[in-house]
Amino acid sequence: MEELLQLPRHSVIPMVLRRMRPPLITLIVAYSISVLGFVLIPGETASGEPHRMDFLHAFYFASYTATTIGFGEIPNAFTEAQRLWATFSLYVLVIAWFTAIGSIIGLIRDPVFQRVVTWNRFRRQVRKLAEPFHLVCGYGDTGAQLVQEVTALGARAVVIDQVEGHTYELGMEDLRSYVPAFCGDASLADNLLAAGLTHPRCASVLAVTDDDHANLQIAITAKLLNPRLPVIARAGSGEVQANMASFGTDHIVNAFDTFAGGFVMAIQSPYVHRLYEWMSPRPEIPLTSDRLPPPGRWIICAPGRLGKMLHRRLREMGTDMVLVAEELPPWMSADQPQVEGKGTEAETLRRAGIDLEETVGVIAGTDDDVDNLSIIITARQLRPELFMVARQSDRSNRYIFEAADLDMIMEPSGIIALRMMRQLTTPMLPQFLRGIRDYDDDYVGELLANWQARMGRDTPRVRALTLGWRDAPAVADALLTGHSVTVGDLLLDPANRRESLAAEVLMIEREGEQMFLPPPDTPLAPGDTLLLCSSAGALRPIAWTVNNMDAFRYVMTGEQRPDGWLWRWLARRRETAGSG
Amino acid sequence: MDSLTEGHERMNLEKVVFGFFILLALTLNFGFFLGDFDNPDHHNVYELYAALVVSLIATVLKFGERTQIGAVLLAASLVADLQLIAAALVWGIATQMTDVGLNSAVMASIVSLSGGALLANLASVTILIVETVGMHR
Repeated sequence: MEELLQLPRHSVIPMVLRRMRPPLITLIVAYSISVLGFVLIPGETASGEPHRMDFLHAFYFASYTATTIGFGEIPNAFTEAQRLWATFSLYVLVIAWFTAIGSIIGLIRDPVFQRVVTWNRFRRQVRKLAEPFHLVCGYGDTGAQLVQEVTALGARAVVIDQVEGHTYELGMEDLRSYVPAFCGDASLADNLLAAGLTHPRCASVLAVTDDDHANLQIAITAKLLNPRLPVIARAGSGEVQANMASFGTDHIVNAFDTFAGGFVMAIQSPYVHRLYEWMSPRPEIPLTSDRLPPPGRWIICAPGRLGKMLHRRLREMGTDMVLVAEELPPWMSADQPQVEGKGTEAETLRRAGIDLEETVGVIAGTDDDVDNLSIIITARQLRPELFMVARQSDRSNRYIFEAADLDMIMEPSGIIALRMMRQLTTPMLPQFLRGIRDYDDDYVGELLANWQARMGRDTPRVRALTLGWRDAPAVADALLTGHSVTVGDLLLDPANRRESLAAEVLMIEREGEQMFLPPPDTPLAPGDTLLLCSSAGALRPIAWTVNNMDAFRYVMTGEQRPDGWLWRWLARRRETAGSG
Repeated sequence: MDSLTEGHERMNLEKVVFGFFILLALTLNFGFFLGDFDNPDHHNVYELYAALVVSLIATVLKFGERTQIGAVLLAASLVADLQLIAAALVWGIATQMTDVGLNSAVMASIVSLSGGALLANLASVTILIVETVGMHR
C-alpha cells in the first residue's frame, strides 16, 4: 500500500526555472553592460578632479534605477557622457525588469501551471490529514449534503468532482472544517489515490456521482486498491446494484428502491413508519403533513425507474394502481392498467380514474420538477382531499415544494445522503429497523407509545456501546471478574438506583447474532455491542455508569464506597479492626 | 524517432551556447587566477567582473534541467557563483568600506576564492566533456 501513496509528483520548480531562463539572462546582460559602462566612463568630483565609479557604486546606481526606485543619491554629479549612459541604461534595465515580471505573471496565469499547482496542493493537504476522513466522490446535491453532515459531526471530508462549478460552490459553503477538493474525474485511479484512497486515515469512500457507471468504477477501484476500506455507493438501477454487490461494495443505496420500500411500509405498517420517523433526526421520506399514505388505489405518474420500483412493490402488496406514462415502459406488460399521457392535464387524470371513490392518492414522480408540481396542482383542483406525493430532483427547488403543501416529498439526493450518513454513524440502527418490520404492527405501536411516554416525543439519541475496555471499562471489569450484569442494571440511574433512566436497549449483537428488544433481565457478556436509545438527558448518566467504577458499584450494589488510596487503606483498617 | 535523428545531423545551437558559456566562465576565471598569488597588479578587476557575469549566465542556462547531469552542472555552477560573489565582496569591502586597501593579504583571499570557483568551473567542463563523449557523436 505504501508505494501507492508515492504518486508521480508534478514539480513546479523546474517549470518555473525553465520559463525564467530567457528573462533572467536578459536581466544579467542588461545589468552587466550598464554597470560596466558606468565603471568605464570617466567622471569628475565636485572639485573637478577626474574620478571613476567603481563596481560597487555602479551596481548600486544600476540597482535603484532598474527597479524604478530612483534615489537621487549620487556621490558626484554626472558628466554629460555619464548622463547619456544613464539614460540608455535606464531604458534597457527597466524593460528587462518588465520582461521578467511579465513572464512570471504569464506563467502564473497559465492553465497548465495552475492545474499542477492545485494538484500538488490538494495532494499535500490530503496527505497531511491527521484525522479520519471520508472520501466523497461527486459534489452534487447528495455530495453536498453528505459533506455538510460529515463535517457537522466533526469528521473530515475530501471531495473530488468533475464539474469545476461544483468545487467552487464547496468553497462558498460554510462548513465546520476545511474540505480539500479537486476538480477531476473521480473514476480515475490516479485522482482517487491523490484524494487519499490508500491513506491510513481514510474511513470510507462514498461514491455519489450522478453517473452509475462512474460509481461502479469508483467502487471497483476502491475495493481493489484498498480492500479494507468500506465503500458506500449510489446506484440508480438494479443491474448496477447487483454488479456493485458482486465485488463486495459494503453498502449500496438506490434512492428509488429505498423510497418505494418506505412508501409501501408506510401503507402496510404505519406504526413501524412512525417509529422510523421518531428515531431519525431527519427521516429519509419526510411526511410533510400529519397523514400517512392510506391503502387504496394509487395513480402513479412516473414512467422511469421510480415508477418501476413502486409498481413492483405495490403489486407485491396487492394494491390497485394505474400508471400514467406517455408510452408503455419496457418493464411493464400491456395488460396492466395504464393510461397514456403526462398527467399534467385534467383529462389524463380523469381517464386514470381520479374521480373514482377508491382512488386515494397521486404520486408525481417524473424526472422534471415542474411537471411534478403541475400534476399535483391539477390533481388538487380535481380532488383536493387526495394524498399528494411529489418527487423533487433538484435541491434548489425545495422552497417551492415546501410551499406546495404536499403530503410527502420524495427527494432522491436527500434519501441517499441520509441513508449513507446513518450507515456511517450508527450502522446498527438500520439493522434494528429492518428487524422491527417483522414484528406485528400493533405491538410496535404499543412499544412506540411506551417509549415516547418515557423518552419524550423529540428524536431520541441512538448510540452503539461495546462492552469492552475502551467504551465501558467498569462493565467490562465486572463481567471479566465473573459478576453478572443484566440489561436492566445498565439503565439504572447512578444518582438514585431505585429509578430507571429514560433509555432502552433496542438490540444486542453478540458474536454476529442479533437479539432484538432484550428484556431487562437479559444477562450481558463481555464484547456485546448494545444499541441504546435514550432521551438526550439520559445519555450522560449511562456514560457515567459504564465508565466510572464507583458509579457502577453503586448501581449494582447500592454501596457507596470511598475511593482513593488513603480512603481505601482506612477502609481496610476498619474492616480488619472490626473482624479482629 | 524523427527528432532524434535530426539532432544527430544538425548542429544544436542551444548546445553551442551552453558549451560556450561554460567554457568562457572557465577561461575567464583562469585568466583572473593566473599570476602571482598576492600581487594586485597581476589580477584585473574587469576580468573578475566578466567571470562573475558569465558564470551567472551559465547558471541560468542550466535552470530547469531534469536530468541527473543537469542537476550536478547546476550545483557546480552555483558553487562557482557563490565563490566569485564572495571574492567580489571581499574586493569591494576592502577598497571601499575599510581603509585596508588592496594589500597582499586581501588579494590572496580574493584569488583563493576565485581559485575555488575555478575548480567548480573545471568540474562543470569535465562533466560536459564526459557527457558529450558518452554520446558517441
